[in-house]
Formats: sequence, structure tokens, C-alpha cells
Amino acid sequence: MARIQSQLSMKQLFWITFAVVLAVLPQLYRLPIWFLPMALMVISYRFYAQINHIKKAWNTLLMFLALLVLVLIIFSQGLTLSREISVTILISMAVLKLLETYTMRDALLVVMLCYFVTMTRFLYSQDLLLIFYLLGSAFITTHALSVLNYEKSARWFDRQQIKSTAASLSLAVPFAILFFLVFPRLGSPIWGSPDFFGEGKTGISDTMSPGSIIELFMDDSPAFRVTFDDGVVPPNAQLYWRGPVLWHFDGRTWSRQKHNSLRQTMRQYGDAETIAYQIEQENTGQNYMFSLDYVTDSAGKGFLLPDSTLYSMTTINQLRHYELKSVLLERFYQDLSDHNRRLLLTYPANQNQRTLALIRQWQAEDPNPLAVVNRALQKFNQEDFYYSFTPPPLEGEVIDEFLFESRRGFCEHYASTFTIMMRMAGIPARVVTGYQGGIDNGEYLLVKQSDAHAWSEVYIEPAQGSGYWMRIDPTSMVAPERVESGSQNIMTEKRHWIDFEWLRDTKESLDKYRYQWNQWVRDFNVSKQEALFKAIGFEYRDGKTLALLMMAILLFTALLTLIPMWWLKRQRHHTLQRLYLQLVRTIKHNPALYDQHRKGIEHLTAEIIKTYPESEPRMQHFLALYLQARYSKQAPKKQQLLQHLQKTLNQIKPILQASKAP
Amino acid sequence: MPNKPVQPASQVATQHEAHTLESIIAAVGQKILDKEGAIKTVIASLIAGGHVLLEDLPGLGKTTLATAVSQVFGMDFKRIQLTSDMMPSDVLGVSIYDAKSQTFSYHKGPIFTQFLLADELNRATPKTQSALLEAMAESQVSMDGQTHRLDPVFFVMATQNPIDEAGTYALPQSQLDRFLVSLSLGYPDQNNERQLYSADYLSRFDEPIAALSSPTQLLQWREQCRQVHASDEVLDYLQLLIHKTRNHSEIHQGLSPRAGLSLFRLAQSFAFMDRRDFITPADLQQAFFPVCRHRLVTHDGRLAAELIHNILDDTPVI
Repeated sequence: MARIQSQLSMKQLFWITFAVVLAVLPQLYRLPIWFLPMALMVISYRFYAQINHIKKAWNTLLMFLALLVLVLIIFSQGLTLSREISVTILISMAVLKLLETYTMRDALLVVMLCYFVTMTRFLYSQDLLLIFYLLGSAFITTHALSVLNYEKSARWFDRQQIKSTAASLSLAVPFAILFFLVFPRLGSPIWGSPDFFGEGKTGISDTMSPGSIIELFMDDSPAFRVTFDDGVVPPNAQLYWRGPVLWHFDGRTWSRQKHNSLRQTMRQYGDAETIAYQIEQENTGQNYMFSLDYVTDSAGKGFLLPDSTLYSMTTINQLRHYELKSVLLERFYQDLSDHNRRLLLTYPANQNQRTLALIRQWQAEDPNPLAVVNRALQKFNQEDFYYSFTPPPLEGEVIDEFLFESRRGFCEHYASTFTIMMRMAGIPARVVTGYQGGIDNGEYLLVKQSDAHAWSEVYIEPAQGSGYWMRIDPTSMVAPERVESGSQNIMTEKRHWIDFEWLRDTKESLDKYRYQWNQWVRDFNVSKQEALFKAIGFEYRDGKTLALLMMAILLFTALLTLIPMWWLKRQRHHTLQRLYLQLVRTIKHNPALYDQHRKGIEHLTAEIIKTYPESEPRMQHFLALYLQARYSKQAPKKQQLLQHLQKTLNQIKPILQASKAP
Repeated sequence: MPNKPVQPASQVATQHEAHTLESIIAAVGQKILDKEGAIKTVIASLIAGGHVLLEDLPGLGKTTLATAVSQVFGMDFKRIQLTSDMMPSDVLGVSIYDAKSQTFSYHKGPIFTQFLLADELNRATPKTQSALLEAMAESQVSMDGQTHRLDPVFFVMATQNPIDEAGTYALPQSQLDRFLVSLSLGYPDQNNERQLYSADYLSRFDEPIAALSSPTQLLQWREQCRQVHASDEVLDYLQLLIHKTRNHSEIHQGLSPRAGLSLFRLAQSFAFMDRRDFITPADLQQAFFPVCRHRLVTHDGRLAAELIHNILDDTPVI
């Protein structure tokens, strides 16, 4: 009881504060702007108070502070049940808790909070590099716990103690692995689901406006990884990873068509060669899957939208694997309904008149749709158009402005302009977004967010025969290298201030480890777990069996730890100490006397004699022998002495217990 | 079967010596009533070879205690009353030119004695204080390139008046550390105070106490006292106590290793006085307070008496 109330030393305070700072740091980027100054103020005040021995502030004031921070959180993040706000509250309160952490009791609470805060970072990412950081953070937290419980020396960084912390943590590793393998898994973790709270959409989305793909271009994080079954990666120019198809243009932003039908991927395309490949897609919080045109088989993992995009019935909230078969077609024959044709010919009326005039002029020269397509591509190719990720902003009539004035743009500008030009010429056209290219690192093809791309698709209806879709990438007319070697390699300027080539290379080579990590850890899902259990000959049907197994393992683990601890505890008291404890137990019925036993046998003996004067001669005798046996330099005939001590103690016991009655 | 008691084995202080020690304490107790603990601490400190700092109000028996102890051990006794105009030479002695022999001859100061009572130490200027304390630490006086050894049993009992602080120079922590123990006698309790005024007590008050021991025996005891054994368990406990003073949030500065050694020596001395040749935790407990009393202060400079007791209570011996 006394220990839990004991005051914290400077060293202990330092370690718990260090643990809090480390736990909070990786989440700082998404906390409200006032958080950092508040945390700095709290920490510096707490240390100021420690140095100057200022007593704990009034509880009312602390309560008021906590409420104030709560109001601030609601003010800056809104009053909704979201993961965001819950984590922010947890972190803020952990930091504020430092203000009232003066005793061991509160310090232990803070340490537990630290473990919890560290865990919450996993809700946002389970990346490999992050694991290392969070392990470090957990290590420091554990060390803080160790310093709270026992200070081996007064040194602030005690190498011995850090070693012992490492030893205790490494003891936990086998259990962590065991629990990782056998803990029952949910098919889709509700706590980790960005969709549950409606947050966390990343990657290509189903709208596009000037600048939205440039934003992705800045991001080097992986979008998905592809392994080709036959090990042969098709040439870069063929790697168009189809994502959301955009139909509607409001003069600035493109958006998708809401479809009400999905179809199975079961089609034959004559003798076209089939490519089989597997995709490991990072979570996007959306339903789009990425594939090469055109998918013939998705092994039941996805369905096709009418515009040939692969779509998942469930939101992709965690790493997802799927196997696909595709054929690379130049022409995709498909019927187009009148309703859809009308939609795909729509463009904002009474806008972009200069472009419209130009198209009309081309049509007058040669009405053949293919000829118009070529004229447009030639224009991009031969006139002064530039591929740039820092284009001048466009206002007003976007198409006219881009085509005749700014002439600098990224893929989204070209795809958008080209598609509208086609629609003006009466050719049904739409924008396809997705990724283009990828980096082949030997094991797999890595497609990053920065490979995001947008291109066009036009529907050609020849005079005789049926109509077909054809992919046109206007960007390739401006910058053919983009399609051949990827967008980053053709840019000479930096994308942002920390954009260095070596850093990109490092990130790419790190991705190999990340891939392994994904394979072995992140992707260890229900089915893999089932397979593992099957492999060791344990088949389970439901969660109940698994829960029972868990219980058994927990019980076993507990026994495994407790038995040696109990045994060690017995060993720690040697025979003489046990004798003393025997004496202590005989006076257990007298709590006032019993409490004195911590002060040592000499003190206790004096107290016992005071309470039970009749025991004096034997007690004195016992004490003298005991001290002799335990503390003197050469205890003679130890065994005999011990026997004699035990005998004396046995004679004392009835005296002390007889007096119990009155 | 008759229960034949096993006699504790070796005993350094023989029956005779123990008898002497007990009668010494009793004899001093005749003069200073009801202060057996303080008397024991002073004598233990004398046997351990350390100096004593007494902090008390005037009239509580500091001088009586000093004279009684010096008499019972048959020691030379000198007393210096320290004042702010005292010079180091007033304590240590001075070299004077002798015209006849045309040499300097050294005239020894009051420090060359066996038992020195330095009254009101904090009234002296720092210069004089440090001269005295340096001599105490080194058991010698160096003057004009000559070294004069102090008496081998040299013992100082310094007094301080804690209340009347005007015109005093408080001893710095480093100087306080030179005293093995510090203690305060305090007021006697009612019954004992009554006895003070009894004819019986007053009649024997002015009589000197007969010497029961001698400086030579004291030196022997000092030697024997150093042989008192401390087991590993006792050293663990000692270290734990010291460690707790260093990590206590309310204590300004914990015990230094020198203070730790003082604690050890005093505990040895207590064990010796209790006729044992080994230290027990109780010896350390007994020695802990007087050793810490002047060494541990709170952050605002107050005496940490309560905290010292708390540390003892919080450190279990099992």
C-alpha cells in the first residue's frame, strides 16, 4: 500500500514521460493543431513542478482542464463516433494524466495507457517500418515500468537494467508468436476497418478533377504488387491497370456512372493469349480492384461493371489477394445502348466554343471518326504541349483554356481534354483511371501510388461490323517516355523537398521486405490460420473450439510462469528467513504486533517481550542464537544451531498462542 | 532432557570489558538523567573514532555531558569558546620567535588535548571553523612546514545553538560531513527533571566522576571495534538504506559514500558495545538517525528528521 503511494523520483518521471512522448509521436501528424503546444506545456510544467517541488494542482482545476481539452477535441474533430476522435481523446488524456502523476499509482496507469496508445497506431497502418518503431516504443514503456518498480542504481541510463528489460521483453516473444498464430481471427477486423467509421479512402478514387492525380503522383507508397504466373512481365507500354471509369463531366470534375448490374467474368476471346497473374492490393477503403484489360477470370473474387472495371462486393479494408486472367486486346467489341451512347456524348453546353469550332473544322475536312482521333493526337504530338506536374491552374472554361493557352498539364488534363474533344466530334468516349507501368524488382512488379494515370477510351463504329472500344492515351503523344518508363523517371525536377532518387531507390528496395512481411504477417488471415491448424492435425469448425483451445493455452502459460515464480520465491528465503517467518506467523493474530515484523527480528523481539513478558527468557535466547547464526562471521555447527533454533521456536509458539484467547 | 543453552561463540568485548562499558554508561547517566540513548551514541562515536556535533539550546547539559565523558575515560579535557574574533592560531597554536635561541618555537594551541569541547562552533568565522575541522580530519596540525600530530585519542565534541542565529556562520554541508554523528539532548521528562532538583543529585553534581577506563584502553577498543564483522546481508541492507536516501524525492542530497562509511563504523561500534563481533540490522537502525541527522536536509533546508524515520520504516528487514 505504501509503495503505491510513494512519490516519483525525477528519473522515474523522466522515463514515463519519455514513454508517453514516444507513444504519441507517430500519431502527431493527425492530431489537431493545438495538441503539440498543449503537450509541450503539460510536460514542461510537470518537470518544472518536479524540480521546484510544487505540489499537485487541485483536482477541480485538473478536471476543468480535462473538460476543456475534451471540448477542444469535439470542436476540432466534430462530435461523431469515429476512430479518429476516440484515439485523439485517448492520447490527449494520456498526456494530461502526467499533470496528476505524482505517485506510483498514477505512474503505473500512465504506463498502461502508453501500451494502449502504442497499439492504436496499428489501426492506421501495419507497415513493416512502423513495427520497428512501435517495438522500440513498447521497449521504452516496459523500461519505464521496470524503473518504476525497481531502480537498480541511481544512474539515469543503467545499462544493466536496460539489459534486464530486454530480457523480460524477449521472454514475451514466444508468447507473442504463439498468440499471433492461434488467436481467433475475425474475417474482417471491425476495429481496423476504415469503412466502419467511413474514413481512410486512399488511392485512385471515383472522381477526377485537375490536380487529383498529381496528388497521387507525390505519393511513393505502394498501391499493389503483381506477380505474373509465367514470370514474364509484359512491356511497360501494355501495363494499363484499369480502375474506375468516369462518364460524367460537369465542366471541371469527372465522376463515375452508377451502374445497377454486375456481371461474371466468363468470356471467350477467341485465340487471344491469356495472361495469368496475382495481385496483392493494399487497402483502399473502396471497392475497386485493378486489372489489365480485359479480365476473363477473377476466380470469383470480383465482378465486372458494365464498363469492364473489376469490382469487389466487399470494401477492401485490408491487404487483399486475388488471381486474375486477362487478355490484352486492342479492340474490345461491345454493344452500346442508346441511353449509354447519349451519356457518353454529353459535354457542358455553351462552353469551350473555340474547341468546338476546331472540331467542326476537322470534321468538315474528314468526317471519319478515326481521322478525327488521329488529328487530335497529332495536335498534341506536334504542337507545343508539355507534360508537367506543376501546370498553371485552370479557371473557367477548362478545355479551351488548356488547349489554346496553358498547354501544360498532367495525364488528367490530356485525358479529360481529349475525351471531351471526342464527344464534341460525336464519338462516344470516357475517361479511364488507374495505374500505368510499375517497377519490376525481380520478384514482383511494384505499382506505386505515383504510377496513377488517366487515359481515354473511345467507341468506334465502323461503317460495317459491330462497334468496339479502343484505348487512346493522349499523354503518350506528349510524353511517350511516360508510358515506356514511368512518370517519375522523365521528370527532372523534384516533386517535393525530400524527393531524392536514392530515397526512392531505398524505398523500392525496402518494399521487398515489406512484401515478405505482408506474405507472412499481415496476410495471415482466417483461411491461412485454418490451414495451419489443419497442418498440425487440428481441425476446427467454429470459434468455440478455438476459444477453448485459447483458454487451455492461457492456463498452461500461466502455470508455466507461476510455478517457477513460486518456487523461486521459496528459494529466496533461506532456512533462517523461513524460521523468522514462522515466528512472524505465530503472532499473526495480533495485527499491531504483526506489522512490526518488517523492522527486523531484534525490533520484533523487543515488541513481543513487551506484549508477552512471560516469553522473555526464551525469546532472548532465540534472538541471540538467531543473530549469531545469521549475521556472524563463522557460525559454528550450523545444522545443530538450526535444530536448536527450531526447538526453541517450538517452545515459544505455545506461549505466544496461549495468550491469544483473552 | 535438560535444555542446555548454546553459548554464543566468540565475543570480542570480554565480560570484563562489557561490564566496564555498562558501568561507564551508568556513571555518565548519573550526571545526565534520562538520556541513555544520547550517552550511548556519544560513547559509540568515541569508540568508533568519530567526532560529535551537539545541537541544543543552552542549559540542556551539553557541557555536563562532555566533562562527564572525558572524566570517565580519564582524558585530558580542554574547552574553547568560539567567537567571531577568534583566529585559527587561537585554536591551533602559534610559532613565536625566540630571541635567545634565535629560532621559532611552536606554542601549542588548545587543540592539543584528548577531549576538546568546541562550544558554539557556528560563532567562529569560516576561516577558524575550517582550520579546526581540517585538523580534526587529518589528526594533525601543519604549521610553518612542520607537522604536529594530535593526540591519538583526540576527540571533539562541538556544540551549536540552533535558535540564536544572529552573527553566526552556518557550517557548510561538506564540513558537517566531518562529524560522525549529530544529536540533540532535548528537555528531560517531568520525573527526571524533578530528580535534578533533588538534594541527592545536587550533592553529587559537582563531584568529578572517577575514571573507569583510560585512553589506552579506548585505543584498544577502537582497534577491536574495527574487527566487527558485517555479513553480506547486512551490507545489502546498509546499501539499501543509503540508496533510499539518494532517491527520496523530498531529500535534497542523499548520503555520500563517506557518510555510508560513517554509518558502518558507528554500527560496528554499537555492535561492539553490545558484546557482539558482528553487525545486525538493529545496529544499523540505531546508527542511522544520528548519522543522517545533520547530513540529510529537505529541499528547503530543514531538518529531515521525520523523513529519516520514514526511510527506516519503509525499508524492511526480513
